[in-house]
Amino acid sequence: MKQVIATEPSSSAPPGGADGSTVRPSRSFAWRAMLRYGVFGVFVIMIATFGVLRTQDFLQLDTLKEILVNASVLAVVASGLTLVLAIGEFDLSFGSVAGFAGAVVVYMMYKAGLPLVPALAVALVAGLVAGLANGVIVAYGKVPALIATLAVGSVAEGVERWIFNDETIYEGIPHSFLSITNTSVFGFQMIVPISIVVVIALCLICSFTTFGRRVFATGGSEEAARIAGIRTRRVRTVTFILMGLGAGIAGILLMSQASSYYPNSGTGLLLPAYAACFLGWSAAGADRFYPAYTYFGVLFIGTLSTGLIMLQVASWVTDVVQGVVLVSAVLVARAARTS
Amino acid sequence: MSEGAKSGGVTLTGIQKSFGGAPALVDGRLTISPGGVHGLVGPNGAGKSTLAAIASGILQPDAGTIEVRGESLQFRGVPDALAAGIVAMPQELTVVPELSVAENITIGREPSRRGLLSQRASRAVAAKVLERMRVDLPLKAPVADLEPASQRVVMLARSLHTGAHTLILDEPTAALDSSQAEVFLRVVESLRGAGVSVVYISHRFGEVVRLCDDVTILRDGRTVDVLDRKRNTEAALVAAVVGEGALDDHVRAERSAPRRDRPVLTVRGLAGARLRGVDFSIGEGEILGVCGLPGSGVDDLMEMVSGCQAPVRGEIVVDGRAVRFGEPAQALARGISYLPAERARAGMLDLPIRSNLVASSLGKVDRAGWLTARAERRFVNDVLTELGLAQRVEHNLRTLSGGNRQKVLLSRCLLADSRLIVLDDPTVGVDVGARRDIHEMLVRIAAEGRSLLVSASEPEELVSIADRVLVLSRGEVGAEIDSAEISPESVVRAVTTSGAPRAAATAG
Repeated sequence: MKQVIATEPSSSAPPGGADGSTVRPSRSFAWRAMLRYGVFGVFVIMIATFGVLRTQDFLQLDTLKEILVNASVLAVVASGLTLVLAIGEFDLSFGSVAGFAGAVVVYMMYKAGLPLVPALAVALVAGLVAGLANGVIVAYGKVPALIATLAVGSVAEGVERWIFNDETIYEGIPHSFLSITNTSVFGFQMIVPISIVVVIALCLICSFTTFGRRVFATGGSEEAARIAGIRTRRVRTVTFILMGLGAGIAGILLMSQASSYYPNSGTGLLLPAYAACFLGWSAAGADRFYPAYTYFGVLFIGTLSTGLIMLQVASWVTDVVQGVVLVSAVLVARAARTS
Repeated sequence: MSEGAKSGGVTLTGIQKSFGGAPALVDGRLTISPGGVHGLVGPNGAGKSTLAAIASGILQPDAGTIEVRGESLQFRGVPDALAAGIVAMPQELTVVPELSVAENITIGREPSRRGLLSQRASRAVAAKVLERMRVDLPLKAPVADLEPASQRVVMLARSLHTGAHTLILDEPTAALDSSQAEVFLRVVESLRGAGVSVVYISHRFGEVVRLCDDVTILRDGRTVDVLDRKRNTEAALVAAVVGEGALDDHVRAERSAPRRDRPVLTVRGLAGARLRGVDFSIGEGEILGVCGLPGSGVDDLMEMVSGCQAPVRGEIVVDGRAVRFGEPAQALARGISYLPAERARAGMLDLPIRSNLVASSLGKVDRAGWLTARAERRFVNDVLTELGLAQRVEHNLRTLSGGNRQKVLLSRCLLADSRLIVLDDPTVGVDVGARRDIHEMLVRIAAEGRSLLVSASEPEELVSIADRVLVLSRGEVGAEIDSAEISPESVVRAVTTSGAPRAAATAG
């Protein structure tokens, strides 16, 4: 079957020229600047608003610490998701995989009686296997990521429920496991540096490794990358594996933070993670996905949700606001690109 | 607007347009007198597409006037131009393959009754448009089932259905091979009787000479000449576009004879898809041309040799060892690079030029998986300097002209140390001057002892560079033309007599 060929800039169009869309006479500088840097503007306005509404305690170091702690798990999954988006795929399973990995680590300590480090290793392997499954099914089985990751997510969730039968587990969790996240480092809970290390590692992978180059090459045009000699199926698979590992780490952090196992711990991660990736993408000029940009998105989402909690609004408000903010940011970024 | 009734002259004068400070048009002029076909010709980057985009309201000029039937107009967008009767047919194929011919023609302007679509009314309207064009197409057939030329004809019919009196066609035959182009050209010719004016942008001068009543020549953003019917000859077009004397396209420069006794690649009984058993071998430093009618299997051959498609039977021997390629990376590891014709989709990476150059040699540039922009720049510096593009190392490859894009991609194969480069239509979408550069580059590459397997949709292209030409016919080697016998006539004759041409879908 013939494919409708995507619109390409025609060969004789000059650099920076129209991408085929209607170009309006250039708007004022202020308007363009507002579109381009609008996400940052909203970020500042948001902080200022919370600062005014909660004069007594918002603009304080403790709030920053709380935001960073609350956003840590999100930062880990969102930076993994960034790579998946950069390669032109997506993943709907990482929330379930995080929950599954959390169940695995607690089970290994509580039921199987493994020491901390082996238990952590088994949980990471669990995340890795889920990512591998996603990658192989998508890259080699040519199943659309929507179906493949939904299915793998469903399996992961099923296995999680089989392990603990929807019960919450408080006992049998060693103190060392809790200290992974709770130990204080320079006044911050350990979970904050852990998440930042993950983000930095992924930034380094993106910018300074052959693998990172292959990811962006494949994301830009798979066919061209393949013909240039890049093993694109392998690159995709490895990307999904990294996402799975990220989900595994997130699951461990969630359990450690809660000092217990509770069911469906990862399900709330899905929307905020996508929101963080796209907020970062928008803030960077709708150009490309990059873990550091995503971390800005994570801070945005973290500030928003923490601020709303401090204002003691109903929790559904957070969901609504997150959805609206996400769509607005992407719309503004698109507008900025075409103006 | 009533069908075809209004025809009017369109005049663009003093059109200026810059993109981010870079002038694309300095003084664009174009007169489209009512009726007839008007050529618009110039090298890549001359501003043809920009001028067309301004005439059809896609872009807004920085200065200049647009007059339609004596009335000065400003187009704020495509709808304004459409209201004035001007429409541009996109360069890309924009049909919906699953929908029928009638649905594709009326798409966006479906005749409806109280909001309900009427298939019958749709077909009636489409039939009327096709009648005006004197074309016969199966109205109910899905467009996916049509041959490529007819799919373009459907796009043309859609443009006509808008009621426009002026159609702008930007390289409508670029994606078609010569026999398909012929089918499309006949339809354009028959438009003369339909009371519309056509602006025809093309790199194929043969088409321009045949179709156009006058030809506007653009160079460096200026309209430099308008050739009337009498002066509209291929030689005049080449001279006008190049801006200097006649062009010697024959670049078989002095070089030592290819070593046919030292085969780099041997193919035996290769079959699969359209191939039914092909044997040949390429010697060191040889440029082997391959051509054939559509459906003869040229594409399949190129894809199998380069690892993009797995053969069903037969073997590929590299350096005396049989190989099986599961993906292009494996061919590359054996020293075989591939450059497809569709460079926009399958050639260029959406990355800076340096990364495009390094893409096939990542293993040579990185250190234990670590790769820095500096290492990349060091690796590509000499090559880019030679191409005169050193300043643009960080620019996206898409910002270069068609010719320079191809030079960069060829250099990528050289950097990867490929001994065999498989090239599909190496100069498609490239202007005349750059075309000669690329031919020279190919000959120079062969002179270094590398081998080239080159296919071309226009057999004449092979004449200027190939040492030997294989003509495929129905999946087999139909003819082999040796160096001494290669001429445009011999190649074209071999291609057209070796297999029965496809029946054209357009009739009457």
